[in-house]
Amino acid sequence: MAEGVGKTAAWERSSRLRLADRTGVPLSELGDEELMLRHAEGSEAAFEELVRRRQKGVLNYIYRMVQNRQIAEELTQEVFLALVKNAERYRPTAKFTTYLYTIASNIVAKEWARNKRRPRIFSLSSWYRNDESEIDPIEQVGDDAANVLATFQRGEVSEAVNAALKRLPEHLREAFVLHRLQGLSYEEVAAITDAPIGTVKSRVVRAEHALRPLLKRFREYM
Amino acid sequence: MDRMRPHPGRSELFAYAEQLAAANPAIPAETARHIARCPACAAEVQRIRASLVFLESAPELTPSEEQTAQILAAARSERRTGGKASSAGIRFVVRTAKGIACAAAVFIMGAVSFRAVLIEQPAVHAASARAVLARPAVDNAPSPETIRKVSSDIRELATVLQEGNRPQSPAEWRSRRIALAVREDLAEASSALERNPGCERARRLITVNLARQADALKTLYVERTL
Repeated sequence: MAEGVGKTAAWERSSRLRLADRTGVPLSELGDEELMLRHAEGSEAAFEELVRRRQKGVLNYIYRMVQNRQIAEELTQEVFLALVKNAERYRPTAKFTTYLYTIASNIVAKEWARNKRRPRIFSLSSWYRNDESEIDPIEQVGDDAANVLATFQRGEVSEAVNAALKRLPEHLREAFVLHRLQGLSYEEVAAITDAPIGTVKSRVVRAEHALRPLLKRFREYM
Repeated sequence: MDRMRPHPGRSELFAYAEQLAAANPAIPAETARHIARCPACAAEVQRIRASLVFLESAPELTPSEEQTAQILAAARSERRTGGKASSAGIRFVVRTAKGIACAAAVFIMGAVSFRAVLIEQPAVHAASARAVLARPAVDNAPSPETIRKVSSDIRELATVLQEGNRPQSPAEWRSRRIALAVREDLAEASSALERNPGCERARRLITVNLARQADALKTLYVERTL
C-alpha cells in the first residue's frame, strides 16, 4: 500500500513535468509571460507552473519586508490570487517579474499601512522604526544591535538578518531586498517602486551602509 | 607620476564591489586603478563585499507543498466564485467591528463611572485618596505572576485563532493577522521585561494594555466562532 502511494506521488510529479500546452511545448519550457497568457486563457496548469516557479521568491521578499513567516505566507497567497483576479487584464508590456513584484510590493505597502492604522489597543508600541522620527517608548529595551546579536547567538542567521533589515526605513529595505536578495536589476526595482534608477541605487547603498554595523557583529562571531 | 584621482564616492565604491562578483563585470578602469593604489578605498570595498556576502548567505524560506496546495485551491475557488465570497467577508467584518465597539464601550463606561465616583466623593475620601496617592505607584501594579498569567491567556487565545480550518475569507485573514501582531508585540514586551525587570515604563505599558488586549482577543474569538 505504501509502495503504491509512493508510486502515485512519483507519477504525479513526472506527469507535471510532461504537462504541455496545446502546441505540445512543455510548460516548464515556456517563459513566465507566456504562462501568464495561457493562464488568462484558462489554463490551470500554466498557473500552477507559475506558482511553483515564483512562489519561493515572492515568499522570501515578503518575509524580509514583514519579518513574520505566517503573515508572509498569507500575503504570498494574496499575491497569486491577485494574478487570478487580474488575469484577463494582463498585458506583457514588461517582464513578468516586474509585474509580479509590483503586485507584491503593493500588497506589502497595504499591510504596512494597516499596521500603522492598527488601533493602539492592539499595539503595545512601535517596536521597530519605520520612520526615523518615531521614538521607541520602551527606553530600556536594549539597543537593536543587542537584539540582533542575541538572535544570532541562538543560531538563527535568517532571523538575525531580519532583525537587521527591520531597522531600515521601508523604502530602503524594499530597494535592498528586491535588488540584492531577489536579484532584480536596478531598472526592474525602479519600475516596481516607481522611483528613478538613481534613487534606487542610492537607497541600496544607504541600506548596506546602515546594515553594516549590525552585520559586523555577526561576522565577528562566525 | 600619475596624480591619484579623488576618492570615489560611496555609490561608486558600492557599484565596484557589486561588479566584483558579477558574471560579466563592467569595472571602470579609472576606479579600479584608484582602488588598487588606495588602501582606504580598498578596505571600504572589502567591507561592502563582506556585508553583501553575509546577507546573501542567510537561508531562504522554502514554501511547503501544503502552502502551494493552498494557493492553488484558493485560486480555483476564486475562479469559481469570482469574488462572490467577499460579501461573506464583509458581513464577518461588520460583526467583528460591532463586537469590538461593544467591548470598547463597556471599558469606556467603566472608566468613566470609576472616575465619576472619585470626583463625586472628594470630601469624604480625601484623606484616603491622599493616602493612596502617597503610596509608591508600584503597589498598585499587578504582580509579575499576574502579568505572566494574563500574557499566557492572550497567547493561548491567539493560538486558538490559528488552529482548526484556515480562514477562507479576507476578513478572517485580517483578524488572524491582528492576533499574530498582538502575539508578536507581547513576545517582544515580555522579552524587554525579562532583560530589564526593573523597567517601570515597560511594566506600565504592559499593565495598561494587557487587559484591553485580552478583552479584544476574546471578542475576536467569539465572533470567529459564531
